[in-house]
Amino acid sequence: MKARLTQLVARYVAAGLTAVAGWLGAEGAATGDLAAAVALVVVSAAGFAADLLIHRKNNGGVMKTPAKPAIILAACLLLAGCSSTPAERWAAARSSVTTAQDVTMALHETEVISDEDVLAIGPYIVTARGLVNAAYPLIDEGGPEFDAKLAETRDILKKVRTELKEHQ
Amino acid sequence: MTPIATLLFVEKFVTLTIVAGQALDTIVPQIRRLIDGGQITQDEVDAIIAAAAVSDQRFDDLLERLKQSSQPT
Repeated sequence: MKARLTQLVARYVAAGLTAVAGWLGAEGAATGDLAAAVALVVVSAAGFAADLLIHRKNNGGVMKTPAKPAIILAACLLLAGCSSTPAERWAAARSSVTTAQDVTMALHETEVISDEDVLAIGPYIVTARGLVNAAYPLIDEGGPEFDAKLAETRDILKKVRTELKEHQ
Repeated sequence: MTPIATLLFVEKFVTLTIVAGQALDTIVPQIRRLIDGGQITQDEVDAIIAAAAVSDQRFDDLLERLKQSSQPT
């Protein structure tokens, strides 16, 4: 019920933000991704609050561990997809890797994920980091090698996001 | 809910909110540039690299610590 409600809200928020982005002058296919990224942040924040309140009500006041920030990573990935220049795309990809690290550390620090989870996820993030750092010397001209490294980084981070969701 | 449990919950909430806030700090300028059609500056790239270096170091330290503690004695 809650998940369906969140999806429903997300759809309307995304549609509204697409309209706002268009009104502000954003053009092209990127507008949809941009709206989806912003919508994801808004909905994840609202979903996070609702999740806590519903859980608390259903469990007689016992608090659930907050575990939603991993979804922010999805917003970073979407933004990486709608950036235009090589420098923009590199910056978005590197920010996504940094966010993946920070989210993993925060989830571990708050005991949402275990030591074993971090050890399982860690190598993926380190590989993604190596790829995005290796793409940095190509930031000025871009090219197929640059694109391939960023694409692989994105694929690995998607895997990290899935792993984080499964381990929460 | 005991006071200690409440305190622990608040601590977790604050920690995760700070991380979400940091992530939003990187997302918002990107959204603004996409709307304005502006280009990223070298200063912004340098700031991303500096933030990344701090995060990389902390993450590597955590992985190293966990690897060592997971090894059988």
